[in-house]
Order: sequence, then C-alpha cells, then structure tokens
Amino acid sequence: MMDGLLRDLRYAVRTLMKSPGFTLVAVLTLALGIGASTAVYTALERVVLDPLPYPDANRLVQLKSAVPKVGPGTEWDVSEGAWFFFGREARTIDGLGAYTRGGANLVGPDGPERARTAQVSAHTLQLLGARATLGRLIDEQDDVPGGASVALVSHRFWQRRLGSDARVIGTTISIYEQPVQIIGVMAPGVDLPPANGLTAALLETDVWLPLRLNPAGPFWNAHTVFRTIARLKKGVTLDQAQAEFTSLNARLPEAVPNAYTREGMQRSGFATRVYSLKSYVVGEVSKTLWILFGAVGVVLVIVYANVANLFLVRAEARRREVVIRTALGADATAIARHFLAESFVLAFAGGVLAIVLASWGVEALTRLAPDGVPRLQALKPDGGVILFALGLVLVGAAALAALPALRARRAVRTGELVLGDRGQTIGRESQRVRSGLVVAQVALALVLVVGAGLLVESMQRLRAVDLGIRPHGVLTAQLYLPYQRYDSIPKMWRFYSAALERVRAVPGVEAAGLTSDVPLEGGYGCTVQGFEGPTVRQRIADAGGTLCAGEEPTSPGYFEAMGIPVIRGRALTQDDLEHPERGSVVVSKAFAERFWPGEDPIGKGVGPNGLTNQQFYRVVGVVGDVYAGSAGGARGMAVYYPVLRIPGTAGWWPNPMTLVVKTRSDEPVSLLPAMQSAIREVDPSIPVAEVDAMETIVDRSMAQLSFAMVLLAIAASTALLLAAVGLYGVISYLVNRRTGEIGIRMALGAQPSQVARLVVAGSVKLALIGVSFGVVAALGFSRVLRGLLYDVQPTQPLAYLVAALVLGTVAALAAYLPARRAARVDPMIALRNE
Amino acid sequence: MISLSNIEKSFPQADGRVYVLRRISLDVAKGDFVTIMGPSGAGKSTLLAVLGMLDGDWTGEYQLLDHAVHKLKHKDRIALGKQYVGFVFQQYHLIDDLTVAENLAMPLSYRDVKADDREAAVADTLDRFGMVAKKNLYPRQLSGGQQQLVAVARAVIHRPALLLADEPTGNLHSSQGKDIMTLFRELNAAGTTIVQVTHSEDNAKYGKRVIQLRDGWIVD
Repeated sequence: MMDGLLRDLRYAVRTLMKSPGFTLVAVLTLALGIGASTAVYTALERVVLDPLPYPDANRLVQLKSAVPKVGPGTEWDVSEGAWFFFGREARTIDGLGAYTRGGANLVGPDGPERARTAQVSAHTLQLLGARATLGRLIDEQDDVPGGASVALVSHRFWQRRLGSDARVIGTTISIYEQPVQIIGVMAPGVDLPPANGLTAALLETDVWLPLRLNPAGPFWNAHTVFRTIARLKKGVTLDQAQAEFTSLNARLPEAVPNAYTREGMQRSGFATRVYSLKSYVVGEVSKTLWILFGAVGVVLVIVYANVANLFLVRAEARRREVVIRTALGADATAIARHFLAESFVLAFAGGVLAIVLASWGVEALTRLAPDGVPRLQALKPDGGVILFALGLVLVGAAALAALPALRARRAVRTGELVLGDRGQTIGRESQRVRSGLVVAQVALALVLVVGAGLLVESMQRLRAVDLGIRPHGVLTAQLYLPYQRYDSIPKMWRFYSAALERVRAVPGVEAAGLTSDVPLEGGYGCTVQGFEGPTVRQRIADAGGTLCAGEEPTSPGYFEAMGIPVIRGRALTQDDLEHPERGSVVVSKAFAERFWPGEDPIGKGVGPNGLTNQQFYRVVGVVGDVYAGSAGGARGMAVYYPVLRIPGTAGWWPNPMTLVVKTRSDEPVSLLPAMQSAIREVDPSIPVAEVDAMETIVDRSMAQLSFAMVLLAIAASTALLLAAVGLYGVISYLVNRRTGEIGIRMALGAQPSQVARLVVAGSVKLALIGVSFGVVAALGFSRVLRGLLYDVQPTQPLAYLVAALVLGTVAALAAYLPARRAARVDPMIALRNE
Repeated sequence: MISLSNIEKSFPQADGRVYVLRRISLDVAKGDFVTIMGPSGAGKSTLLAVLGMLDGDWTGEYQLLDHAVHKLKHKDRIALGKQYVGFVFQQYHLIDDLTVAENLAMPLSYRDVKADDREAAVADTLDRFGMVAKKNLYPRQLSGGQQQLVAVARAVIHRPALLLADEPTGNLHSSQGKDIMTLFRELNAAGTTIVQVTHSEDNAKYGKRVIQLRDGWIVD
C-alpha cells in the first residue's frame, strides 16, 4: 500500500508539473482559503480557545454585582462588605482574591512618568500562580490596614527602571511620593486578567502593592473599588457556585446592613453573578471572532468548490487514462488513490504557502483589530495552528479527490476502449456537477456579500449618529495628583486651575477644561443622586426605577473644549469655582427629562451620593447628551458638578481628572510637548498620562463593528472574485463544448450578438439559481450578525437586493470573454470539426 | 478454455432493440490462435470486449476455464479478467505520462506484485522484447510500432492465459504490423491462447482458424 501511495505521489508531482497553469491557480487558490482560515483560527485559538495562563484556569471565576434595573446589562464590582462576607461564608470556592489597577507617578532622570500599579489582596497572587524570582510575594502580613509600605515590582520594571539590580530587595522607590520598600521581583509571564477594552500598554503592571481592605469596615455601598476573582473548589460546577452566591446575595442586608437594604436591592435588581473568568475576559469579542471564523470558513468552502471544479475538468480530460488503468486491473481504491495523491500534492503545496500567508494575515489582523482585544498581542502560528492547517489540507485533499474518484468509478466503461468514446454523455453529467458547484459558490458568496452589506450599513448609521460632541482636534490626557501633597480639594483645584491657565495659553489651543470621565469610554458609572423634595424620589420609586446617574466633577471650559452644546441656561464659569458656596451644577438633557419631565430644570436642587441632609446644588444649565459607552448604546445621564464642593459637604473626590483640550490642529497630539511643559511649570512631578486624541476614542468605540465590517468585506470580496472565476470557468467550458451547436445556430441565421446574449444569459441564469439558495442561507447567517448590527434589521431587503444585483453583474462580466469567443465562432470551421 | 453459448447483446431503441451479437456460440481451446473477421459493425470488437470482461452487459453463458462467468458478479468478473486476460488495443492506450518501464509495471502494481518482483518482471520483459534501451522514454518519443510493442509487452507481462487483440496492427505500417504478428505467433507457440480481431487477411494467416461475424451472427 505504501509503495503504491509513494508511486502515485511521484506520478502526481510529475503530471502536475506538466500542467503549470492549472497547478499554480489551484495552489494559490487553496493557499488563499487555507491561509485566511488559519489566520483567523490563530486569533480565535489565542483569544477564545486557549486557557488563561493561570494554574487551574478553568476553575477561576469573576464575581460581579448585576443591577439590571439601573440599566440593561449594567454590572458593578463586589463591594468591600460583600467581599468579606463571601470570603467567610462561601463553601464552593477555595480562594477569593481582589485587585484593582491604578497608577503612580514616578520621577526619574527623564522626567515624571506614570507607572502602572496593581493593588492586590494577598491571596490574589496565589490564584494567579505568581512567583518571585527575587525576594518574596505580598502575603497576609503585608495586606493589613496600616501595614508596612511594601511593593513587588514586575520583571520588566526591574529591568527597565532598576537596571536588573540583584540587590534591589530592601531598597525603596517612591510611590505616591512615599518611600515604599521593594520586597520582591515578580517572575515574568504573570499579570492581572486582561480587561476588555484596555489597550495592551495599560495591561502591563509595573508595581504590585497590597490592597489592604479593612475587615473592620465600615462598609459602604461602593461597587467600583476593586475586582473580585475566586477559584472554585475541585468538582464544583459554575452552576453550583452560582446557586450558592445567589443564596448568599439574599443575606447581604443582614450581613452588611450599612451597604444593603432589601428595598434598595429590589429597586436595582441587585444580584451576585459568577462568571468563568475566561468568558468574562474574552467578552463580546468571542462572538465577533466566531462570526469571522464562520465567514472565512465560507470562503474556504468556495475555494474548495472552485478548485474541485478545476479538478473535475482535469479529471474529465484524463478519463481515458482512468479507463485504461481500470482495464489493466486498477480497482476503485487504486483509482481513488490516484486522484487523492494528486489532490494531496496540491493541497499540501497550498498548505505550505498558506502558513506563510497566515503569518501575514495574523499580522494584519492584529493591526486591524480593535484596541483592547484581550490576548491578541504577539500572535503567531503555533503547533495547534499548524495542526489546524494540516487538517484543512487533508480535508481539502479528500474533498477534491472525492468527486472525480466517484465520478470516474461510475463513468468508467472499459468497453469503450474497444467500442469507442462515449464522452458526450459523460461530459454532460460532468457539466451538471460543475454547474452545481458554481451555483453553490454563488450562493455562499451572496451570504457573505449580504453580511458585509448589513455591517457596512450599520457602520454608516453608527457614524451618522450625533455623538453630542465635536471630537476633531481634541486631545485628552489623565492628570494624577499624589495624595500626600494634594490631600484636599482646594489644593487640587489650585493645581488644576493653574494648569488650565497655562494650557490655555499654549499656541494652538482654543479651549481647555477638566472632567472626571470622557464620553465613549464607558466610565460614567451610576451614583445615586439626592433630590430636593420628595416628588422626584416618589415618582421614580413608583416607576420602579433608580435615582442614579453619572456624577462628573467638571471645570469651566470642559463643555467648550469637548464641543457639548449648552441647551438651556449656562455652563460652569470661573466665577462658580471662585464661589463654591453657590453650588452651581449643570445637568445633561436626558437627566433633566428623566427626573424633571415637563418642568424647567433651572434652579432645581440635586445632591451627590444620594445625600439629602445637606445643602443642595442648583441647576444653572442643561447641556446636550453624550454617550457614556459606545455610540450604539444608551445616552449617558450625567450631573456635572463643579470641581470644588460646597464647603463642608460630602461628595466626589476629583483625582484623577481628565484634561480635555480643543486645539486648532488636525493632529492634536502634536501639541503634547507644549502642554507637558506648561503643566511642569505648575508641578514638575505630575506626568501627562494616557494621552489620546478624542477622534481615536471615537474610532475605538466603534472598533468592534469596524473590525467585523472590514474583515467581512474582505471575505465577501474574495468570495465574489472566486465566484466570478468559477462562473468564468464553467461558462467558458460550456462554450467550448457547444462550439458545434453555436456554429449551427449561426449557420441558420443567428447574429453574433444573439449568440453572445445566449452565453451571458446562461451565466446569469446560473447566478440567479445560486442567488435564490443564497438568500435563504443569508437569512440564517444575518441573524447571527444581529448582535453586531446597529439600527439595521438582519432581514433588511436593500442588502439582499444589492447583493443579488452585484452577483448578477459579476455573472454577466464573468461571461464576457466566453461570450465574445462564442460570437466569433466561424460556423464553417465549427461545423467541419463537428 | 473458452466456451460461449447463446451470447447476445442488444441496445434498446424507440421501436424495439438493436442486436449487436446474436446467439453467439463458440469454443476456443487452450493454445488456440483464433481470428475473428467481418465487415464494420459486425460485432467483432463487441465480442472481444465480452471475452475480455470489458463489457458485462450481455446474456447467455460464458465459461472461462472452470469459471461460469455469466454467474459471476461484476466485481468477480473483473478479478477473473485481471487474473487470466491480457488486452492489446488498436490505439495502444499507453499512459502518456509514464515511461515505457512504468507502463509495463502498471498491470503488476494492480495485482499486488511486490516492488522487487515487479522490477524483475519489467526488466525481464524489456529484455525479452528488446526494449531495454527505451525503458525511460515516454510513449510520445516512440514510433507507432514501438508503442504497440510496449502495449503487447504490457498485455503479457503478468503472463495471462488468454491474450485478446483488437486490430493490433490497425495503426501501424505493414512492416511494423508483421513484427507484431510474428510476436503473437511466438507467444502462441509458447502457450498463450490468442483471439484477435482484424480486417487483414494477412494477419489472419498467422492464426490457426478464422471465425466470420456478420450482423452479429457467426457465419461460416
């Protein structure tokens, strides 16, 4: 058997080299299909399929507090009180961790920089499988309130900032302008679980600090302090853990009465959810990647169909050889092996080239992918990916060989070696099979074209949405003030005010202001507000809603810089900040409509943190709505408080703040050096961190849809091209076979244009049959896309109509050359040959 | 060796059936050299195809050695043909992309002959037919006569008991044809039973007896 296989392989290589045109087209086509599939699979494997790089990663879970009545899909983190309660009472887990990401200003020889910090509870590092290459990890003794100031540095930070000094243990670095002793250097390869949406740069921790939660409390209803992870005990399922936490959730009002009441939990729909950490990390991008995988899978099927068509023609041309071999004793297995050898050689060559194409494809994918797709960095094909490609090679080889082998088996009539050729019948059967393959290609191509069309329309509608801002030329950056020197809001405001004054003086700057969270980055949150008088509270309670909104400390100049229009009243002014006792506040339009429907909001009283026992702030203006998260989501309700609180009242803490600068430049980042200098004049230790152009933030908010749209459009274009090639091949072959018939028609009076129309009509007819099947398939596929679409129904007729027209046009164009050839047939020559 | 009894072959047509072979009964003894002759359309090639198991769509009885071919399933007929029959075609039907040696080896490879034995048989046959110098050439590099010689060699390499030849010299010059017919005589003398179809009276003389076919009937 091996001997026969090797012999067939040698023969296959020889015959394929004698047909370089066929071989090149087949290999390149296969490489394209296998390469694209392999590239997307590489991303899918790394992002979705590979386990997280932690020990027992499949048992790691993330806990969240779901508050669906606050907003659909809204989830907060676990509060401190609940964390301690769960840690004491939960029996389905054997480890509970807490962590939060932050930053610290460090001053070095090159000026101030922002180091990325992570504050972790002691057990968290164990859950993540961390180990120290020097010194030790943070332990329970470090993680207590008032404990010694210690830090663990990352391997990368140790190399970059500390010169890989082996004597670093026991030395100090300055964190928040306080000396902190280094107790260990973390081994490379371990970091906090990636957070969806955070760029890769923001995910790499430089310095690890103890979180120091206080078991003594007091515990407030604060859910944005830290994230919670846990490890399920062996043998415990996610459902079992969820059942336990649902039960514990119901006991929160008794366990943590300061933070939870039954009425409050009912109003918000408060529930504790247990998610597998991996599914939480991967998030929505999993669906996008699976859809893309499906799309390239469709392209791959079209590729196989295309090459199978080529193979069938070749097999028909070699039918005589098959008949001879059969007459000489070849059985069905030998004939099938013969075709399989050839298809394997083609598929293997295509597969080898595909690995190269896949590497390029992976690079392109990484560049095109939205920022913040977890685990998408440093992608390259590994052993699993090579196996996947090999699998496609084998499937392709089998699929390509199957049709010709089956047909050869059926079509072999060895008697024709003595009785003459009955190729006409066999040719017609082959033609039907080939036409069927092309119809399938057209149907599949239509599916992708419809999908791409729906996404393109979604993208157009999304881009047409009025975001409520004017992002062109706007720059944003974070300002983190060290607590030790900025331990009161007036001190912070003195810095902010001076910084703003200097930034506004930078040439090219039109306006500048500060806010807590910029639009489209999902950071508005939901803080309960207090309202003057019982009317608002009663009305909202009757409707079963909540009183929470985004609470955004803001400076004068912010609305102007961001381009948010003032609809009624006025914006905050410098005078408001110089007289904080006035308590001037601005609200968003959606906020005013929700809490004071049909009323004039100017002069209404509102207070932060739900407090109603202190002086209320007065609404002086209403501004346009913006989107807190993506443009496809809900508009954010917000209260824009002044940076300075009414003296003697409780409320927000304006640190860090986001600097928003409107410039006259098309490249606002070009003004960054001047702005950095301006801020250093006020305080040289404050870095300008996490700089982003607002247009980049806007693009990022649409990146997921944009990514899917671009890739689906590429897949659809490829499918169209392949379908056109397939149609061309079939129609061309048909014209060749019908040359005699065409000659007769012309001899009987048919005009060349009539003959050409006949050929084109044949192609369009095939395409229309494919379109009919394709429409049915596309209706199914478009439902899968539903989650990605914006303001577009999956069954929207325009997309289907356009796709059908495109394919009809492609069919007509594919038939152009064969039609021209048919119109030039010389009837006398054709009839003579016939 | 061969016994045919009432073999008939026909095709359906709109107004009935068209018969290609009508009640063919004949016996061929082992070592015989039979020539089948007749005008075009007489059914000569069809009869040969029936004898060689290349056509299984017929009625009647066909005994080959101890095997009742008419009772066998298609797969078993093919196996029987593989074992006992070699075929020489008018069109040679060599595989263009295989060398002379590879064309010779093909029937052996389909009979599970081991590589070493195969090589030995090919070498022996090349030598026997005086084609050693041409073993690495492709059919297109040979003359018509040389190609037919290769075809004959391929037909006999597995030492079949029965050799069937359909117009073996039809595409050859007369001198080349003589060489082939002389070869057939030698094979027959060595024990191979041969049945040939030919139009040529000269070729018929190489055989021991002639069977005449006309309109599907055997006639005297």
